[in-house]
Amino acid sequence: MRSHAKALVLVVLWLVGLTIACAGSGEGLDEFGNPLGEGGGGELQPTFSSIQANIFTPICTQCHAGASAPLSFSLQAGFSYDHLVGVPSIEVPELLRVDPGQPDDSYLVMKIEGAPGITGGRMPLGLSPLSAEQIAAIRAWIADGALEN
Amino acid sequence: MRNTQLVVLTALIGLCSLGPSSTDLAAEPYLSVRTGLRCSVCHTNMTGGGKRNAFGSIYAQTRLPMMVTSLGDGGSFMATNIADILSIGADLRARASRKETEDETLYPFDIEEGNLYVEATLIRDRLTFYVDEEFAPGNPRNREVFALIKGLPGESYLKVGKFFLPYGFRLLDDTEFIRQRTGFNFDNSDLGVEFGLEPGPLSVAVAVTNGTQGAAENNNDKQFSGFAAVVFPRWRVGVSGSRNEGETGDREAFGAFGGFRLGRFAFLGEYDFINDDPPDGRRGDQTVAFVEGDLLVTQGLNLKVAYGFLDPDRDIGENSRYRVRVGAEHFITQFLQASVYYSRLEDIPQVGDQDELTFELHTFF
Repeated sequence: MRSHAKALVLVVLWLVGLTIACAGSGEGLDEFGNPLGEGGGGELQPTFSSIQANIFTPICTQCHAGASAPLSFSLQAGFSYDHLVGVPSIEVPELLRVDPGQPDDSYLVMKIEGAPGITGGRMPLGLSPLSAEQIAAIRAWIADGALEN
Repeated sequence: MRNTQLVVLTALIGLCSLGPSSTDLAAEPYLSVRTGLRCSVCHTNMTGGGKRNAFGSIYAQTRLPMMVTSLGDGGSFMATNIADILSIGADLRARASRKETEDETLYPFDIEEGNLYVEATLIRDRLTFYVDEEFAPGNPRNREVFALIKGLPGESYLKVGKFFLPYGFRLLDDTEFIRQRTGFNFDNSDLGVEFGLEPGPLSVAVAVTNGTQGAAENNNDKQFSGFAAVVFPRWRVGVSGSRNEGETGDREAFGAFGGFRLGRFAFLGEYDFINDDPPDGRRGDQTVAFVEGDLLVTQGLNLKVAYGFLDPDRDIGENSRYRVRVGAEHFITQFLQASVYYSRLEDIPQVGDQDELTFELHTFF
């Protein structure tokens, strides 16, 4: 009986503990959780800088960042372009991650669309898929030559 | 099959009577905490995950399910050996979900994991060749392939090849903050060598790998990762650490993890600190935490409550987020598990919250 009472107390304490730490209020932050004034992404455009600020940095770098990024594939600002454009995919080496002018043949597009032929899960893994607007912006940027603009 | 069945059941009874008292066991850390056993007791991979070994297979078929069904040949146990030295295993998790954000609601079917395992015992209790191949979702890909040399001095072992890195609790859910943010998850494996030892209650594993998470080596710096833990029947506690240097900067991760059981309850938790030091000098410090409670209602039925916390940048205030997950996991028979989970991700108001209801069917052997 005593052990059951101890267990019950422990469970209650544990559940109370769960409620202590909760989500931030977001005060003073932009829509990506960065401090206001640091410069947000602005409206999404089919340019590399806009895609970086609106998609890669806030969404993809949750995993693809730092020295231990999956497959050493970083989408952090300053690295993402060199890791994307004209670089063979490691999962499907015959495809480039971004093939300038060829969105349908770019492995990045296949991964975010969950297309047949990809290896592993659709990106972003475990999160909601990118919106049609976000995918369209990436497709348009690649179709326009995938410039570092 | 019958002789094999008798042998393995005898071995099971023997192990249960010699080892810590146990109730359930499978491929998730809560089961390890509940039983008081190490990962290596049930898995070929000494640090857990993947194929169940002979003991793990017996346990999964006899002690996990609510109902043990006949296999049609008069028996109820299936040995996973397909030859003297070869044994196989598999996991398939298929899901139907309802995912709701502020912008949309989706109802996807998907496969969380489909893996096939092959183990060749070349020298009994000494040398093992092991392959873990993912066949779904998407194209096949190799997750692990290594040679495992056991029985070295001090109850130590050596693992050489491609493998999941030793760090913290090996949770199944790669999207949990402690696994997603640290990068130590089932989507990341690396090439190198791992040394471990398990004398008495101590469990230690240290790996030196390329630090490229499975990609070809692109620099001469290596990643060092590992953990040290003490494992007792009713509780365990350990520390983890990792350092990796690469072209995109340096990353350090340190953490502590532990768990205990109390009657039908099992609790586990982990806390990690992650520091990224990129070449541009803009350091980023993250903290992640996880706690989980499990209640064994009856054999074959587990109730789970889990909580994950993330502070994605300690230098920025009011940006933390958390996720709560509740669920029921039912081992219906020896090869089939059905689960239902509800999870809620609370983010800052600008980003919005996410709710997810998932039904999952897991077949395994």
